[in-house]
Amino acid sequence: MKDQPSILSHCTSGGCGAKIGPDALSGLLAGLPRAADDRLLVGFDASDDAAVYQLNGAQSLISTIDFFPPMVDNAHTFGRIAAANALSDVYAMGGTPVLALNIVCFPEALSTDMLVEMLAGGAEILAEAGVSLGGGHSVYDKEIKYGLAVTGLVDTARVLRNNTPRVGDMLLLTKPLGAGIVLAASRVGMASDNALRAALDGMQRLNKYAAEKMAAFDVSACTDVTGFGLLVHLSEMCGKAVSAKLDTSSLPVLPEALAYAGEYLLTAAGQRNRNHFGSRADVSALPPALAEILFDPQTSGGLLISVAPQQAQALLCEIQRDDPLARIIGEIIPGQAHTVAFI
Amino acid sequence: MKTIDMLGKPCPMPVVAASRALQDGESAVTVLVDNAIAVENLRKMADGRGYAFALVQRAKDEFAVTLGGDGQPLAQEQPLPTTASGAPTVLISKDQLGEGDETLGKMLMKGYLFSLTALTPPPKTLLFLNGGVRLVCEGSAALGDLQTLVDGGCAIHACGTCLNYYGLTESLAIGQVADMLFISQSLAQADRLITL
Repeated sequence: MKDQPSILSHCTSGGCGAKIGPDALSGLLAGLPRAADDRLLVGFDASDDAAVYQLNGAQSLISTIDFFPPMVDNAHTFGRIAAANALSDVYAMGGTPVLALNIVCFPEALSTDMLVEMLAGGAEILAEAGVSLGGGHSVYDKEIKYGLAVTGLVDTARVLRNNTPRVGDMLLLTKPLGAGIVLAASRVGMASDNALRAALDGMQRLNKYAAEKMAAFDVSACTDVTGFGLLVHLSEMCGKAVSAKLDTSSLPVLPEALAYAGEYLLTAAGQRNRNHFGSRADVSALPPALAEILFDPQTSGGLLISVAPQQAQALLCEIQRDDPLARIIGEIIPGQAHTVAFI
Repeated sequence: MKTIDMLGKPCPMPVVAASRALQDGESAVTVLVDNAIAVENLRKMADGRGYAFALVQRAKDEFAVTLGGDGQPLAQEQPLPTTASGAPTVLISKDQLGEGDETLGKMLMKGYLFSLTALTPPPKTLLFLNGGVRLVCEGSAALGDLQTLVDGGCAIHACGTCLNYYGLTESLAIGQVADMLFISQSLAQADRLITL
């Protein structure tokens, strides 16, 4: 593929960094009508990871969609990341994905070999997850975009919302932070091979394995950490009812991400996340590079899990069998002036 | 001073380009970016490395960020000059700053009004006369900055005779209409007067 034009040359900002910012988004959604059907158990008003629709007493349907421009220069890898990212929302709701549909935008002038590679990457991840590809839709566009609409199933009684943590619960994060910063560094040729490889490995990793471990534990809330960065996703989890205390020394961070943050190799989305977050936490006492990591947009990031404190270590050990970089990063505390405090 | 065009380039390219230029020995560099987020990321780098930072918004989607250091990072940003006594009154009798090319003149005036939003202390009163009244009417590119000044306590007055002469009486978008007596008194009583 060396003589192919770069897929990155056709995009200005890729991955979850391309998301419409949280402030703009909530404004846009505010005017939409709310569903009157009370079988819609989880809709968009809760900013949750996916929609959940009750089918019957036992089962509910999960529906989610994710797509974006490329963030890496290899079509096959991009396909894998896009698929892992799309499936993640189903896992974050405690469900099992079963069916997926491709969404593709592709420039007419680009070689279709790239398109084939991209879809092949997506198909590989779907196969690993045991998800059936049912079809898809594609349009010509001046910029490449790829992702999937995913349908999953979940026991109605076991739906995991993102905003129901309990005071005293411990917080687990299953993948390291800093992917956005490493990709930003890579975009300007300043990321080491090691750092980039670690970031790409993390992004292609399915959250399936960590999610499956959750079933045997008393988990109160779960979300996946993606384009809004850890602090914003964590504050969505806390809402107004509770707060969180983060132990910044136990945060898993990708190799060299802190160094790149120290060199100001930052994303635009990270700054948008910081602006949205405002004064919900005081990051001024933190080293600036660490503060950047907390706002850094993740693409296909890990699960943020709130679990009963006496079970946290056991759940961590289980998760670490397949996801060794998972860590306990903090706890849920009673609500206070700042949504997130740091120790 | 080097100018680097980073319009249309995503973060972190503007920061890297500026950083490299300064590390290569440029005493100061002006980076053109097209969004406020890029300006914020440049400011973070400037603050972190001790470079002076200056911003001129040239248009809705064009920001000129100047980072300077004379080859040495400054220990802190140069403080803006403060007046010894009294906030200034500014008399604006044209919609351009200076004489020469009209497009440049209008751009300079826009930049000047923007710079007033950073002045310490902020101006007390702005008086608009003759061609200057266009700046306070609908369609003026300066309305956003003028609103910022009003929000900060600045009073804006536009000559009623002038608005009427140009057929702009119904188009006043910010500030109050004033007569010549009011303007004359404001000028006479001003602690410090800036006339453009």
